[in-house]
Amino acid sequence: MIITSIKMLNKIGADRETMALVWLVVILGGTTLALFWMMNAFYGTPYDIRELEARLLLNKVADCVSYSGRINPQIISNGVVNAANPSFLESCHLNFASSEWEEEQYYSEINIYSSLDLSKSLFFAKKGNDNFVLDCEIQIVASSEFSSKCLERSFNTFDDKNQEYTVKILTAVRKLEKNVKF
Amino acid sequence: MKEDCEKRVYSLFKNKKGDELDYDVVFIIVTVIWLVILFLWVGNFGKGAMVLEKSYAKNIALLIDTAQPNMLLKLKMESAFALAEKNKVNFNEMVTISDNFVAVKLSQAEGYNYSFFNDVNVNIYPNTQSKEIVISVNDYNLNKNA
Repeated sequence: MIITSIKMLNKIGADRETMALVWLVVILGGTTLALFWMMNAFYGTPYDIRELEARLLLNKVADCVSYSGRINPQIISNGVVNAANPSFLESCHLNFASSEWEEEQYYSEINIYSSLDLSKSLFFAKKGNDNFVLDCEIQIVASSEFSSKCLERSFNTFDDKNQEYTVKILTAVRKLEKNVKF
Repeated sequence: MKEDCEKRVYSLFKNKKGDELDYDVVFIIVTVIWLVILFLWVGNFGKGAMVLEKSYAKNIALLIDTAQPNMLLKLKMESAFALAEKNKVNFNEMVTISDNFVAVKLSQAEGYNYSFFNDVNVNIYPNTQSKEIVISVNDYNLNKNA
């Protein structure tokens, strides 16, 4: 449209100064618009810290499950696994509820296996919004910034009778509205 | 009156000898001035309240998530102090913690909140001399935890 208008001005015989002024306005206006667009794209995109949060949450849960290489005696003591305690994570000083959000924005679960048999979980506990588990499963196939950020890690630890266990921890953080530009 | 004004405007395009200056020179000057204004605007945008509020709120939330009880954390916030002072925001209201979210306010607008998951009791206060925020992590909240 702009180019057509300039061609029309040329046809009707606008003087050199008018043409120069039109071009100046077009070039400066275009530069300004491009800059506005770039600024909006750069500063309008929030810092996505969900992966960091998921990592910190995972570290905190790991410290709660096992400290200095020894498993928490609330989970396993004298070689005996305490019955699955889904609310174990309540004792890990985590607060997932916030007045800022209607739903909880975090999820964490732990599975503990004997290192000799990784097929059967000896202990399971979870806390938070378990709707995010589906997001984590989808993320394995196709990662998207518009879903929760998930992190899964495993490590080995020992009980007081030096029996070895494998601990698997999964954490997920949603907080889409604060970390992703829609 | 109108003619007088026009004469003044046209005189801007004339040199001391009274010859008309080339329009190209005027346009180059206008372009340079415009670009300088744009660059200054771009440079200052990153230091604006909205950008800094988000950055500091998230930084502080992450710091609290990593903290253990009885820790004292200090965060240098010189640019935030300068902006709060410019926007007449009380330093005590600049960074606040309620429930489990951090609120950072550097202008008269609403500010920015970000929540953290570490269930600790936190006090936060500004040190106006060193331009830093002191985060005192006291202990775990005992209401829910065994």
